[in-house]
Amino acid sequence: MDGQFVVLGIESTAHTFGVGIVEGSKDDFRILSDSRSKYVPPKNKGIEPFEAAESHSKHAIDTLNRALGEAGLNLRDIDILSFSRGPGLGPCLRIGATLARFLALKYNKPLYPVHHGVGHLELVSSYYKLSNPLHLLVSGGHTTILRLKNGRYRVFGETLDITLGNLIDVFAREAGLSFPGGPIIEKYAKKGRVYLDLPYTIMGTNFQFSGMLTNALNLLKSGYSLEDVAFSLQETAFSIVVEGLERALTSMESRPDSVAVSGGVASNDSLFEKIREMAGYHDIEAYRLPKKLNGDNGVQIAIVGLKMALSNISPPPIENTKVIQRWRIDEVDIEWM
Amino acid sequence: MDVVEELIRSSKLIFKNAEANIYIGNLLGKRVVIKQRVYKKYRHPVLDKRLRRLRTYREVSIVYYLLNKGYRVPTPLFSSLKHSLIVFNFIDGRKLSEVLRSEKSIEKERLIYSLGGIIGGIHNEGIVHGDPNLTNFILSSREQEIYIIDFGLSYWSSSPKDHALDLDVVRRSLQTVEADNYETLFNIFLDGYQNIYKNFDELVSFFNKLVKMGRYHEYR
Repeated sequence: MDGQFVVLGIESTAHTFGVGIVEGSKDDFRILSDSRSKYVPPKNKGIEPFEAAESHSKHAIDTLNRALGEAGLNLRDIDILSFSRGPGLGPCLRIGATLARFLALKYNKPLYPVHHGVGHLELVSSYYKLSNPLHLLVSGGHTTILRLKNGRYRVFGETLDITLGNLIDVFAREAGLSFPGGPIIEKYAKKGRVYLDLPYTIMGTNFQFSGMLTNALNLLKSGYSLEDVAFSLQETAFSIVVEGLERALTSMESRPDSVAVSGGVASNDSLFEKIREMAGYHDIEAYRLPKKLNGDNGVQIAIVGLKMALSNISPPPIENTKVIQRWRIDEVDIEWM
Repeated sequence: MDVVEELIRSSKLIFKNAEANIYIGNLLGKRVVIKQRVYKKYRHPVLDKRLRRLRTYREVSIVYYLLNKGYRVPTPLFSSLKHSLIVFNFIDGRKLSEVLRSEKSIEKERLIYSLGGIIGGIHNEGIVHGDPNLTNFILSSREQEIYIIDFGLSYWSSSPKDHALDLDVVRRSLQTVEADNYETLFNIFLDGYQNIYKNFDELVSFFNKLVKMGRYHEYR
């Protein structure tokens, strides 16, 4: 038991309510369970925060019980609790936070609030035991290039308007496809043959996608096939992100020996292929998690709880665990190794 | 084999940056830097060709313009759009990012202040650099002056809105090089910039908006 903890993490920043349980020590960890319930918005609509929260509250206990059942544990066997504190949608975050606080008080367990984005980064680097990789976090909430330096994840580049996840989801929705748009757009893009010109906006290592979204939708309206437009959209947007990543990489004084890609959009094969191609050119490795673990989940929250517990960080008093809807990833102190 | 291929063959590859291979070689007895934008396999060939031609063309024309105006930039000696290649005279020196790491704070402040003036100047000329991160400035060994390099993402614009984009790149770059002390240094940069740049009042509101454009700022 000494130096070995069982941690239960709760995720509820957006459309996924997730509970993950991990067991681990300084050297290694095991995923004991990963259960989720997903809110799916009605056709042609984006995510509605209160509806999502209602869905989460309906499925929270069931998701928790499934996670415990899968791991063959009951709540008394859990050493540590953690939950996703932000950033995200207030109503959704509060469902996870409330359940976490209740469990912490009832079973008298330490409770760690966790930054959702940090969870994505820590999961991929722990999974492959990477030492200080260059990170690309690509999801509905982030499109950000980061690296750990002096106790913070420093932002080396990011989107200045919408994220890659937004770009693809909104495009899919406007094209009449269902949510989430990523996998469907990827399928159509694979059948695309003609590359159509789209705006390519990069400023150093920062980028913008909203001009491209408008242009792509106009191409669609003027009669180009969904396959070709989806293909061109992916090609252009992914090239921008990979160029930003390459610029960040080559301007670093101490070069990383790996690139780690995380977040829901990391599951896109065409994006990851481009990153691997770029990394290979600079003689470094590219990593991403098994697809199941790219999207939001409780495991990424549990892993950060585990690291905090292993580093003897004292959890804040329960009244200091309010959710934070807007919370920049480079404002989080990383006090563990 | 044509002249360009011959030149590259006889030169030494010293660095692969994000979009180009950088060689050092000799042209008519002069030490030169050869910058060749290379084909990126991760880009669609149509997009790749478009970007490499456009950036090579813009870099040459903007660097020429600034050279004629008396700015410290490398002199383009030869270029070929077909090979997406430019040959510059060699500037002996160190990257500003490296210099800032090692210098004492008073010297840092002097350099950052003059950097502000240099960028204010090119903005007055109606030019946006596009990627003024601190690795894109060289402090020359001989006269200890700052040279601006890599105009691959540069373009013509007199709009303070576009100029504000450059300032944000400088701000972010200072943040990654000088994490703890960056605000002080950035204010010194702005002093130097404001001293030269003529539309500062108009620019400020765009710039403040831009700073809040990253993800999840508390006040937006």
